[in-house]
Amino acid sequence: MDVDANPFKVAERSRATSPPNAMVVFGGSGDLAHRKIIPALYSLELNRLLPQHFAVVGVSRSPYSHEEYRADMRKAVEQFSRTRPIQEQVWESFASHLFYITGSTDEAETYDKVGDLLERIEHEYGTDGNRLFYMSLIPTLFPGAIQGIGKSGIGGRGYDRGWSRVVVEKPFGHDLESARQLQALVTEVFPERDVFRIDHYLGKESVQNIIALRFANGIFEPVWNHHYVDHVQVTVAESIGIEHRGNFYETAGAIRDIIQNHALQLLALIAMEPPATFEPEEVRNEKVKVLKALRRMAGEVVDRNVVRGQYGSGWVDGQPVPAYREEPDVAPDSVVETYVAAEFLVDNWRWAGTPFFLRTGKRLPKRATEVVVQFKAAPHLPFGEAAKEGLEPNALVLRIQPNEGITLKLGAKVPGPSMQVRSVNMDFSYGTSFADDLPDAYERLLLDVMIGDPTLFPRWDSVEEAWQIIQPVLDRWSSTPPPEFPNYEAGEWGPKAADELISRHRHDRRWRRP
Amino acid sequence: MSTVHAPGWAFEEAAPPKVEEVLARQRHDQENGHAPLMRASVNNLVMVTQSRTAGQRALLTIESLGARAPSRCVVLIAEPPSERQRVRSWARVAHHRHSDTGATDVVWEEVVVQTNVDPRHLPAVVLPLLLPELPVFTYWEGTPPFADEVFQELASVTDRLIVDTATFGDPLADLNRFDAAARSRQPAASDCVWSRLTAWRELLSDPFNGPPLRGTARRARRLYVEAVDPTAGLELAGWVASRLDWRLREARAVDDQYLASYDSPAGGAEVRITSTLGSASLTRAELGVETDGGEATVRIEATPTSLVTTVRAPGFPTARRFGMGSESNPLAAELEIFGRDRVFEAALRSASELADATGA
Repeated sequence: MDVDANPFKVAERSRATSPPNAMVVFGGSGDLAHRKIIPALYSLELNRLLPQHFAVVGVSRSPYSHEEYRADMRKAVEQFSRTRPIQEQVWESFASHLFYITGSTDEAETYDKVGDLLERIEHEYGTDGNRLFYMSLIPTLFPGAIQGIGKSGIGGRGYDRGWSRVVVEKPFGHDLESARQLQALVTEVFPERDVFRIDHYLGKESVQNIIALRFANGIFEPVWNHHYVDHVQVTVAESIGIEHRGNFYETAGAIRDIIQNHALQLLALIAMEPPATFEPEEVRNEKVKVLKALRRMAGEVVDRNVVRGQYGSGWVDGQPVPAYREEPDVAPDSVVETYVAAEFLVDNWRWAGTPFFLRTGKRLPKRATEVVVQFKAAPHLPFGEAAKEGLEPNALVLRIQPNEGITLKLGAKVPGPSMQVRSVNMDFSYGTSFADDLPDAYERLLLDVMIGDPTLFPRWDSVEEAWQIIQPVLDRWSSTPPPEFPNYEAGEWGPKAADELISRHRHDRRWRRP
Repeated sequence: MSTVHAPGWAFEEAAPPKVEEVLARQRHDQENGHAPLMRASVNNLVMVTQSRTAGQRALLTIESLGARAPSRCVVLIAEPPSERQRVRSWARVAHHRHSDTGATDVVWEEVVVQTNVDPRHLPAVVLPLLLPELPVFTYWEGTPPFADEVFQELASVTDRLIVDTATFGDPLADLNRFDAAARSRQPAASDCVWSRLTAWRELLSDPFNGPPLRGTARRARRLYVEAVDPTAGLELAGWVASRLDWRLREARAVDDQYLASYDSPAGGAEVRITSTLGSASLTRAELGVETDGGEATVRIEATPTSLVTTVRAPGFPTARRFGMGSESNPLAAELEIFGRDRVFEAALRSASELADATGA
């Protein structure tokens, strides 16, 4: 018997709670800390999911005292928490575990101060020496912070007074080479098992529901393959523009921002084989097998299989909006893509010959993330031509956001004396049966890091595979002239070339309109 | 066909065979030209009451479940049998709009059945009104007639029986009967009081996950509880005793207290449950634990808005923490549990032993 085991927890049906730990947020006064990290921690505290033995240390250059930081974070929680109004006593209790250190990530002294404070916290709050370092920093500051942790010995491989883990925000690298360099640097300090690359998409309930839909329902598996599926579409559409992120977006573009991570991860969840168990490594192994099986593109194949676009001025949500090149911090002759559509093939037994079409874009008509599994038409329709007008092949639509749910397109008889068949949509909305105050993705993911469950975090081999898939596209684009930008108006569903891409092999294939 | 109105919603009286028809039509026509409501079925809830007034209370409870309302709620008003037996039923579709987006509806259906048929026929009245092939939760208001035919018959079509021991007429004696029912193989049983104790249990447990109390729980020597609901005090004590392998040695009732002594791995433990007044199930719980430096205590106290945990351990600063209590509607939490809850059943067994030993 483990003498340290808590007998009150044994066989308890209650939720998983974190072990004692202290969390250090580098970039603790930044936008992500305000909008997501601290509100998520407060919600966890409110729901009794944080341990009593817990503390947060924000680290940033802004000159705050502990009290000033607490006051600033209180405003953030009041503004961004999903559980408002703030619960006074719970906030006070949470805030008493909230600390701040003024310091730059490129100064050794900062890490000494963090180490001293963590020692004090461990003594006073019993955090057991467990440390979680959250890199809420712009990418150029990652390396310095990681190295600073390692050199100072406050965490990483040399640290043995508890576990130490690091959370890294996307993007993980700018291209394949820089990702590998970053990985080498990170794993010099932290072993891979302690590195949690956060992709907030994977923390969404609706994304996790893809796994539930596929592997909790026996009816889909027999038809989930190239015999029955004509093609798959993954759409990540945004109606917003770049939202004051011109500097970032000019160095990223849609392919790095969405396709390399969110879209390929969704593709992997759709295409993966059933894992034997839901153990983290089993799930991650199956996902990476899909990415390994994605056919690589290079040279002219990129030109044929990938469409890029950039929005011009137009109307979105009833408002006139400027062209990308007119946005702040964007070069007037920028060739950065705000739209990408691509065709991928998964070279394995299950999916041979079944195209996966991915698209993402800014300033599209509406915000929608969804996966469409388009089935092949019935092999023979015994109805007359007129009778089957309006009948389309079956499609299963997994709506990720908004209005999370599932739509199944079926053929049905039109009521009346004649045999007329039409397609009808059968909609299931999660909200009609499970609507609840869904946890924010960050709440789920932060709790998983503390518990040490990496299932929903991309492993390095998965990230590397994704970069290997994307890098030849980036190489091709950098060596060939771009299309004439802008090539779609804000408020349209992307450039015409994207429609041609999906219909070039089969004229009846088209993008589903979300 | 007459119509009964409830605030915001319309019940239509319909004979049991017509209930599905009414619900289908309401789903289709619902509300001022809005799109037809989609129904996604998850489970059934049967709420058994003995009077029309209690039935009305049950409807308010269902409404307060909001987003967690079961797909089909059947409120069964089981009146005493009489010679002129009859069944009346009403039905309506209800929905809850998500507060943030305003776009998503949680849809459920309410069916009220008022009857005085012989109890052995009640399953025949209820069964046709349930959604097929979905779990059936039965919530019994007040003390179920454990020995009566009506209970046996309805339990036979139930997957999970939910009671609220805080509403039991004779709490201690009824707790024993409930324990006996829970120990039978079917259905799984639970208690809303147990859900109200969730926050207390989590907060009492949490200090033992880390220093300085890690590894000391089995050295607990005393538990003092101040209970508003007697069964809440007994179930908390039962939970501690069952988790820590305490064996009841003796117990007695003195004035407004239950006093008990246990054999425990630490050599003995005492429990004192004092009845008190308050707005929560409990007002205070304190666990005393033997440590190398002396006694450490974990105390939880209810304030009007939260629970306060205070941990005192020799040589360590006193730690205080505020946390939210369990959710306001314990029935909602109970509806999320399928199957048996072994921890609850062990706690109930231990609580029942304690109630029995005090001579209740």
